[in-house]
Amino acid sequence: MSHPRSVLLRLIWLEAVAFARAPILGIASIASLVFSQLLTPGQLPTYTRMSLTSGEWMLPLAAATFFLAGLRTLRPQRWAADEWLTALPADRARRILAQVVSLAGPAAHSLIVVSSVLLVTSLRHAVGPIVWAELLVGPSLVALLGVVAIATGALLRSLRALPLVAAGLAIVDVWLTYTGFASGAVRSGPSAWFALFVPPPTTILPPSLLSRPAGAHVAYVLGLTASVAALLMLRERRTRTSVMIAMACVGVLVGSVPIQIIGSTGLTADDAERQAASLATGQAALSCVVRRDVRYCAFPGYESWIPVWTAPVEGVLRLAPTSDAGFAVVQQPELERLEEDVVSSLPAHMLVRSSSGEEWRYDGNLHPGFSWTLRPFERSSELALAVDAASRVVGLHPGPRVEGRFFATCTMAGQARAITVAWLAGQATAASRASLRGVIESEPWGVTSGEAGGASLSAVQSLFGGLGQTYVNWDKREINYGAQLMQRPEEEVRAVLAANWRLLTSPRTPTSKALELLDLRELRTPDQLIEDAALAPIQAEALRARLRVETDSETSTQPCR
Amino acid sequence: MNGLVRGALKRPYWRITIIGFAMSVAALLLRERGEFPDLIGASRAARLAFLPLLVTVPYALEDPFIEAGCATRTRGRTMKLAFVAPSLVLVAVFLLSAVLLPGGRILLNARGMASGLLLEGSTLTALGIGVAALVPSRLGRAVPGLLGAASQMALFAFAWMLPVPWRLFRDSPLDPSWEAIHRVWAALLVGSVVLFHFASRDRYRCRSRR
Repeated sequence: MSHPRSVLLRLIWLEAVAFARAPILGIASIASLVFSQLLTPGQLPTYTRMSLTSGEWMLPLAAATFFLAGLRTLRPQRWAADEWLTALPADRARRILAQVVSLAGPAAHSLIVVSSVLLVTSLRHAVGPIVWAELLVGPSLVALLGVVAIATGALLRSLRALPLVAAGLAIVDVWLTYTGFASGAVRSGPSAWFALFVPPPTTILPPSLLSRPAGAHVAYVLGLTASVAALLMLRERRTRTSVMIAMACVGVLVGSVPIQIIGSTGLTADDAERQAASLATGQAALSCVVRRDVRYCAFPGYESWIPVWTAPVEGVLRLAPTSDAGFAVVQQPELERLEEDVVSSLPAHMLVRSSSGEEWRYDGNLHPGFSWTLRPFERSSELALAVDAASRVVGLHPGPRVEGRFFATCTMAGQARAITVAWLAGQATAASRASLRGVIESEPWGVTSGEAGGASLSAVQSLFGGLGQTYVNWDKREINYGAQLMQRPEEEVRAVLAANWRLLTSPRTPTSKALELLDLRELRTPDQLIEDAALAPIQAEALRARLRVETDSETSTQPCR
Repeated sequence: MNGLVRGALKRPYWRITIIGFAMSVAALLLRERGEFPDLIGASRAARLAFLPLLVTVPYALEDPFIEAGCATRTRGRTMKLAFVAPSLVLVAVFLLSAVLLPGGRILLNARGMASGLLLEGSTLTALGIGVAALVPSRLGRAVPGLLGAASQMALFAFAWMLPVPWRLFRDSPLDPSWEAIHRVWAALLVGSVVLFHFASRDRYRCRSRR
């Protein structure tokens, strides 16, 4: 008769081989690999985001492990017998233990997927530091879902229960993560940390600025896995050893909970001060290079994005008849993405405060962030940086300005230099050209059918507001003139700009003067557009009323200086 | 014919359907009280609430051939689905009215939302049934249902998690690609129905005993 331990080892081996032979794990691995690359479409990849989303892109493999483990646990119900396994003299507890231990196979498999994802990401010239502890969340979830499937099979003994358990997990996870399922807002309280898939922040910051304690979520998921497995074994066999193991596992789980809660309820004062200090003295830590008299500074790990920023900036400077840029390009995190404690610990000279919040104090430089959107039609980072550079070149300084108790906005409506900015930014690179055309096409000049079957006149809304210049209203009319200018030969426009540079960059020059100098075709007025559209009288009147409100709001805004 | 009806009214299937329905109602109750009712929240809640119920539907096809005796697979499966469909429609109407009529008020664009959600639900149902029909029942009693449910959950997860422009779940009918995405759902529905049709064709003619 075989020794019980050798029987157990044999069982583990057979279960692991069965896992390894399952083709669905291979298919799921490929799905995870593809998923990892699809999660951030239209953005330059960063290792930090890749690390923080490992739980999400590992989902196909975790789900495949869940169903496979469930099927193997409920083998007799499938009228499927594995002669080797059935013949081995082992009781139910050993068989379940073998199945749990054999999950090391899929977990190891997921580590191979992690390596493959890193390799593929590096081939796409990813930047930023890797957060290794966060990368392990994915493999931990594979093990957890496998154990949950085995526990479901062992306790409920029904194949029908598996999808219901999976659906229940999905519902609880979404409920823990988002505020009442609504509007995709991630919960700010500690409950989000008890979800299996914790969504990363929209803007990925470098690990030194993250509030999420690296490794705490892995400890939580592994603690949960070990606890489910240990309690399952305890149910099968109550020995002193199994009781002690179960207590230790639950201890790990309980221990990881306060770490998560501390991480989610704010930083310690020391951490906040340390982060604030690293931001305040950040200039020293940044890697800087000078290219054509412009200084570019990036956080450590992001240096390879400098050529990416160089393209639109140099594109604008090439077109403008001025040799002095007068600004630097310095990477900076968006203030609203930082923890409140960090913001409040920042030195006063770095911030402008108002009743509506804080903003970075304007220093005349351009500040790209920690993500870079390539998508041509919305929030293209290249167009945004080109607009910023062109604004500085024409003397527009779009910093936050406090008026009364709140930040004030200014408008570029009616200013000729808005046309100059639109042309410089749009003409700077091929990508910014495509983006500007995309922006114009998505909101054409004229009457369009709007929501609820009505019609709207998208004529006076700002266009570039979504590109980062929060306190400047760009008028659609000037942007359209800039796009009209892009259809003309570049040399011809440059010559006119060079001859009339002071006039076309002065805040006092009206749009009508630019039309004359640049020989632009005048756009139809909103009233003419409404007449052209031949709308029903009631619709036309509603549009005119809306237009009056928008125009009044625009004219009451102070012009940008 | 009696065998067909008995097969259609099989107890285990109705048991998990009731559990699935209970889970769906529980998911709706998880929505926070006092939360401002909006289309985005409604669509997310409705999709999640539908999920437990949807994954029980593929089990309706559990070994129909065995229980139907000499009846053909096509007739057996059609009979089962004929019993399942009305109850599904009733439950869908109940769940939709729960999310789209908060406090007795109809949300703006609720009609477009309801038709879109019904199309998505029908597609997921048809996919599960199509895959379950494809899996040979000799693999085990509940295996076709399980694989059908797994395929539904896979589509659901990808539709929920993939980023725009591949995301198949859109927040509201005000989304500019709402109609285009629902054409994709409609194509998937047609594909699933075709899959079910071909997977349910009888390979052998059943001989009647003399």
